[in-house]
Amino acid sequence: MTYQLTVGVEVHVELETKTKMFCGCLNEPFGSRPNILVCPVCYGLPGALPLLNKEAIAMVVRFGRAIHATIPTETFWERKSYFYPDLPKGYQLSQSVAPLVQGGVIVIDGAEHHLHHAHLEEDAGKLMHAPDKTHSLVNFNRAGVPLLEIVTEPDFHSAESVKRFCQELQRIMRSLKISSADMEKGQMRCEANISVSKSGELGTKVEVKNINSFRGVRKAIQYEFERQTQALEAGETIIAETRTWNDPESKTVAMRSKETSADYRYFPEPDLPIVRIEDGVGGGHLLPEDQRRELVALGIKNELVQPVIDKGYFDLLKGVQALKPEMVAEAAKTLITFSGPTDVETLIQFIELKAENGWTNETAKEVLAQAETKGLVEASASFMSTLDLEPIVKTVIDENSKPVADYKSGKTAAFQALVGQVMAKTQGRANIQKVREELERQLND
Amino acid sequence: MRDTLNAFLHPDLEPIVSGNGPLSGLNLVVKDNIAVQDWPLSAASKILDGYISPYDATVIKKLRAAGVTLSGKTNLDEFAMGSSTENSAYGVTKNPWNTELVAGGSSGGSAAAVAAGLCDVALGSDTGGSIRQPAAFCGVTGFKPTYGSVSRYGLIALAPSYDVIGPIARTAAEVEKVFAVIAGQDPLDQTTIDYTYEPTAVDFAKLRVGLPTDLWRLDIDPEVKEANQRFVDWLKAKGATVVDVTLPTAPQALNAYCIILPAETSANLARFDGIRFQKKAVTEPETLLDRYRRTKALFGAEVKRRILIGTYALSVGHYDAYYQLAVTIQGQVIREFEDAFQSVDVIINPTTPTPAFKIGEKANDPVAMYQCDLLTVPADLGLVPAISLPVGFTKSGLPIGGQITAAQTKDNLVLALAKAFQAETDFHTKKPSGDFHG
Repeated sequence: MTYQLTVGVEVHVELETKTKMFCGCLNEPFGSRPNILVCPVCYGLPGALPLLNKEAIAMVVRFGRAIHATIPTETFWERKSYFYPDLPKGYQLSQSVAPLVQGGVIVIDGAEHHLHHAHLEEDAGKLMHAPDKTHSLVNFNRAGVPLLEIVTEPDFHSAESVKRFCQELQRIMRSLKISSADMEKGQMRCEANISVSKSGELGTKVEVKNINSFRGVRKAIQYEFERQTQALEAGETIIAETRTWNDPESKTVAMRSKETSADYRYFPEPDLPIVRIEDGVGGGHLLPEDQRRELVALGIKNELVQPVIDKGYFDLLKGVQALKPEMVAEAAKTLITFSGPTDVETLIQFIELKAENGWTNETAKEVLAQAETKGLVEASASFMSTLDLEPIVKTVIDENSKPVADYKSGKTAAFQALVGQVMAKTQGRANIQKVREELERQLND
Repeated sequence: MRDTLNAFLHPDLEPIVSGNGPLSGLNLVVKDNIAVQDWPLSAASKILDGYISPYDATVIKKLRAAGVTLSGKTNLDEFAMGSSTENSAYGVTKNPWNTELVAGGSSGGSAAAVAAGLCDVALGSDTGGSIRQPAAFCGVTGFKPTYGSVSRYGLIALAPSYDVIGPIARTAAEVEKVFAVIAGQDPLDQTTIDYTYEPTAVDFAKLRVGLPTDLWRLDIDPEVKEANQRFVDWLKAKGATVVDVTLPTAPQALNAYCIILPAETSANLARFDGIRFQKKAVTEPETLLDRYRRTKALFGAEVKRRILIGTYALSVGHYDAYYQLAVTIQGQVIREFEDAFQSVDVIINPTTPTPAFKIGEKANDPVAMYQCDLLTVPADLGLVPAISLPVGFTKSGLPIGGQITAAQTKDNLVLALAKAFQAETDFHTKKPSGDFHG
């Protein structure tokens, strides 16, 4: 009998709103001088009151609608009490009874992953511990940054599927313009609840925190699976505990046992009103899965589908499809090769010019580089097939008697070398098709 | 300001004179749980000793714009927890009518300062009676507005579900002038309502007055009851219709309040953790736990008691039995007020069960102390406006307060009726004898 791995994940995503969740401070926690982006509210001064950030709520509703979750008609915030030096008020404004997103499903290449819920809360500040352990410093710039906590059902059974889920979440956050969800920057943080068992029932839950890369997600879960399997094989009991992922050493380390659960004493935040969510707000967004399905249907090569979405070219291709449906596949290839042009008309024009003039990729790149300052029309003018090829081809034939002789004796490979010589002499400006024609004409004279 | 009653904290503060406005020349003092920029903000607690507020409460901003002179900060029970000012870390405020007696609380400093003639108007805050009870004890007029009609931004939270700032003055007319300025929706407080004060007049022929039998039959001092009965007689004589009304849950309001307030406060006070409001740096290294212990030890006994009660009431396994039940009771109190105000315009009852009591008399009996709020708490849970005004004196010369309550946002009716009473009576003009300047 084999051991079964079961994983549920909690993913925290920092929303890229203009201001913090409950005050007017700028939401730019990265690279700012410590304790600059603070005010009486996010610093927890006596008498200060929180204010709801509508933009953050709208973002989360957008996410919820996109993943077909239930959005409650009314939601509210609660105080989650615990003491920690990075938590200014001694409680975090969070949601437990009426989270903004309830249920929901994320589909990745046909496989469904179910969410338990997602709620909107505030981030805490950041602690910095002196290496010699003499003191710790607190930076409150991050305190009050809007944070979306996404909690899945325990429905993952491989480390790879969790990693792919996290990557997909990042794509969703980016495509809905909610967050860059950069794990390295801590904009997206992942915690995995892992259990291993033989019986088909869930085993003892072990929580692994502090995973800060996609690779780490896979490695941490795989490590835990192996560690717990070995322990069970050896007849040991798994302890319900919280472990931390030590990335440099590629292992999990026990942090604290979970024998007693923390009591956060949630109760409704009396400083904030109840929020009513209108019907139809925040709908109509395509998820990466929908985009993948559409692109495949448009005839775009499988290996180009995900890169096209990840680079944000989906809408551009839809634009091409509307104007020149036959050009969509070529447009996808062009975008991935050249990373542009990024407006529909120029893209179509570029594809047409490239075909007409027979530009090589190198030539096309040069045209695009020049187009940045001059515009495409002017840039392409000097790469048009108006060169008088006859004397150039003649010179090349005169200077390359050996390949010419080889070609004439039936070695067709020599022809390509001659084409290359002509292209070199024209600095790549010649239409390669025209070069071939002129070469053939003169060689067969 | 210096005084002999210990009504003022931070006595060395220089008055701040603002520009011209409708309240120019008005001498206003502020309960020391309301933030005034660059002034100390202690909430009468050792834990905030030395703390200077870097910002103005919204009410202070509005009052400055209206031209008031801010002339000092007044004493209170620590974090407004109490009914006698005895819980102040800086000593009790004495009652100017008899300095052996308490001034009431928690806005005891504010009420005493007005009664002693040390200012024109004082700001207080009311959560369970903290404006009206000391106003009654000191023989002045104290107004608790409709919840949400005045911004709480800059008021140190006690129970945010009920906290409201209001004025205390000798007359209802002065109270009204200040309330008109501080009332209104505040973008910095999302619990405020869309509200503008518009004065009204009382048409006694149409006025329907309700006497809540459930409150009148509670254990109330006979002299207090009698004075309030004379207030009701005056209303009858003016042509008002007086009827009995029922508020069956109102006597339970105090019980619910004694759960919800500590619950909310246990979270409110968590921020005083010694990380950001440290008076001066500790030179000796200490662990985080030691820091927490040393800091929280600065709370007084009543504050600690309420943090413990609130923490218990919110804990897993107790939440439904205490907190949730208390919230249900509050819902009932609100509905009963709404029902009552279908048939009457105002409700009249005594402000307090007794006149001012002796300093120390209830200091070791917290439940007896909580009972002081028995008749004021219902209006807080009901979120409705209520005023306490002087309606008589005991034989020994102590002031007696009467309370007028109206439906939510009918603040103007409460004030209009109080003004009408004061136009024909002189209880509010009586002053304690003596000079209370320090």
